[in-house]
Amino acid sequence: MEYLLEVKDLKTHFYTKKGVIKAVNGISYGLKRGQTLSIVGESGSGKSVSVLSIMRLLPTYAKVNGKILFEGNNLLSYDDRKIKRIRGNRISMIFQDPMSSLNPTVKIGQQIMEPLLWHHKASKREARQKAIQMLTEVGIPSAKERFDQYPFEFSGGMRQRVMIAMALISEPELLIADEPTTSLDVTVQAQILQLIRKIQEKRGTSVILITHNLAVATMVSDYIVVMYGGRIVEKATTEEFLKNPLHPYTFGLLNSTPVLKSRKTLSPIPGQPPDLRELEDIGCPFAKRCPKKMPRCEKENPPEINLSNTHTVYCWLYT
Amino acid sequence: MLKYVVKRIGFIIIALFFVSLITFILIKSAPGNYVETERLLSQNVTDVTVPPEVKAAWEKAYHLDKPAWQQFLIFIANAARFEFGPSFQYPSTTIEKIIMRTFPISFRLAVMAIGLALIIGIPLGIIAAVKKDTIVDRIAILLSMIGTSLPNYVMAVFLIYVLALELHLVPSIGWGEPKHYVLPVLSLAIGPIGSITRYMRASLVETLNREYIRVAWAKGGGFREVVLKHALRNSLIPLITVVGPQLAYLTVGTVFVENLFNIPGLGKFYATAAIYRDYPMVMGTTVFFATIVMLTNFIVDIIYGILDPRIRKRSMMEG
Repeated sequence: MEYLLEVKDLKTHFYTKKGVIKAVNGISYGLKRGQTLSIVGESGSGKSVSVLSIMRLLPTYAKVNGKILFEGNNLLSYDDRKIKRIRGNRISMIFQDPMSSLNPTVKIGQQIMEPLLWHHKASKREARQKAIQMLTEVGIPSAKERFDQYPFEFSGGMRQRVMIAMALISEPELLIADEPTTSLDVTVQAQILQLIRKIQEKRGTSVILITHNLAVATMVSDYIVVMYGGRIVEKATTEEFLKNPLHPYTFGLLNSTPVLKSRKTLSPIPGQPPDLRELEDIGCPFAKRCPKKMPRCEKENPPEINLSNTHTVYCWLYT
Repeated sequence: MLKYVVKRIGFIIIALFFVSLITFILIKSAPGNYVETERLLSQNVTDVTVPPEVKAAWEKAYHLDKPAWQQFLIFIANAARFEFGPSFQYPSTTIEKIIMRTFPISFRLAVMAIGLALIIGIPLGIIAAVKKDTIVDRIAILLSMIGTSLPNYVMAVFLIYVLALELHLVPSIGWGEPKHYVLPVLSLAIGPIGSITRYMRASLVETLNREYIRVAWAKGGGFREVVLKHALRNSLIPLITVVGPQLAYLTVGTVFVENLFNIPGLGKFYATAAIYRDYPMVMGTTVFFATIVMLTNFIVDIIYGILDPRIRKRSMMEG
């Protein structure tokens, strides 16, 4: 199957007064149509920056290199006007905090209609109908009345539903969800994930889900990418990932994720996530915290080991 | 809402009482009096004394023969009905008539100056905010600093020199024709231009960092949609809190400019009254100006509530 999105050797470096921060340092992955890909990692692993690079939503002092092929076209070569036509139209995004993602002084309905109106995809009347239909679809009761209300009249979960309606109204091919459930109650989290799943199946939208929660990733995605210190340490289909996790960091993540009804004790990964400013170009980024560290791990970049067409691990253990 | 309005009006009345009291005490303890001052200023050295019976009749007419506390109570009772009686200088008319005739002139000057300041300050602030930390931004900040730190009478002298004396573009003095407005309005506008630019910039920079602005970019908005529709809306609401008091301040603060350009506004009468120790006039105008300032602040707060849907809807729910 052809890839909808292919990220090739993506590097995003921030040039600040205190030095260069290599937030994303050469990552590659592909996403097929209709599938869900999860990017898993701790805070500061570069997962959010990597998707913001796709949307080109980073400040000007961020330099993005590599290739981001969307239907075969490199988004990084697009000028501002061309990327504007992609944003909110063919690629949409849902952000982490629904409480601050909506403009407090603009009516919900207006905000939902905007992607359609801004891309000239519908008249105001059609957009209104579509917005009300979307609100109903994401599970907001009495959508017609809610249309004219302001964000402060909605709860956190409801706002995230509004965000989903807003992101999907223009029927994008790709939906990027950056930790969409992190700031929500646990019960609401599951509802939102189910909702994304349901709509995705109905429309055939591809999804990139950013999460630090491995359990969430295995629940909803077809493919999982694990990031650490700006690099990918392991990527595999969810099946392969659950059956045969290989990278020591992946192990660490699995062992520090609680499982209901199991008597297994949680074992956290010792140490701290790396400071991206101090990260060396050479060597495995996880080496300092790795329980199976070998001398060469800090001196040489880990090799790319392909266990199957879809399962890749970057680690000296498997040579 | 009604409760709030009643409470605020109550506070205004109490504050006005104290403004009157303090002004009254200051006037009574200030050296000099009208009769002597007028004689000195008109250099009428031959007429050394005023006949005692004339003076007595005059004092009786202005209740100056009664004890101070009675004078104060008479003033309060009359002021409550917007009656200040005749002044020392203009015994044939009443102070309220003078106010009604001259206040519109001062107010018109202030409104024109604020209007000009908004027309220049808002776009300048927007440009500075969008081009933050560039040379354009630095220049805008510098200009606004000069504007706010220069008193308007200094500005007025400068403008008279450049525009009237050197370039002969406008007359330096006179009143009655539109061209006579140019110099006073410009001198009055410079300060507000500076403060509105600075406030607009700061407010917009803050708004542009909000999450919902990033969401708006992600929806495919451009400068017009994101900056002018989403960000500006939220930055303009707090601007009202700056512009309102400035309008009041300017209406009162035209004193210097009106004297400089010989404009028959209330400010000119106010200043002359103070020089001539025309106490009824000083009392009347001070209380009037205080009322204007407090009412403006009150109106600004109400408008603020109406513009912000969060405040508006909540107060409606409370009744």
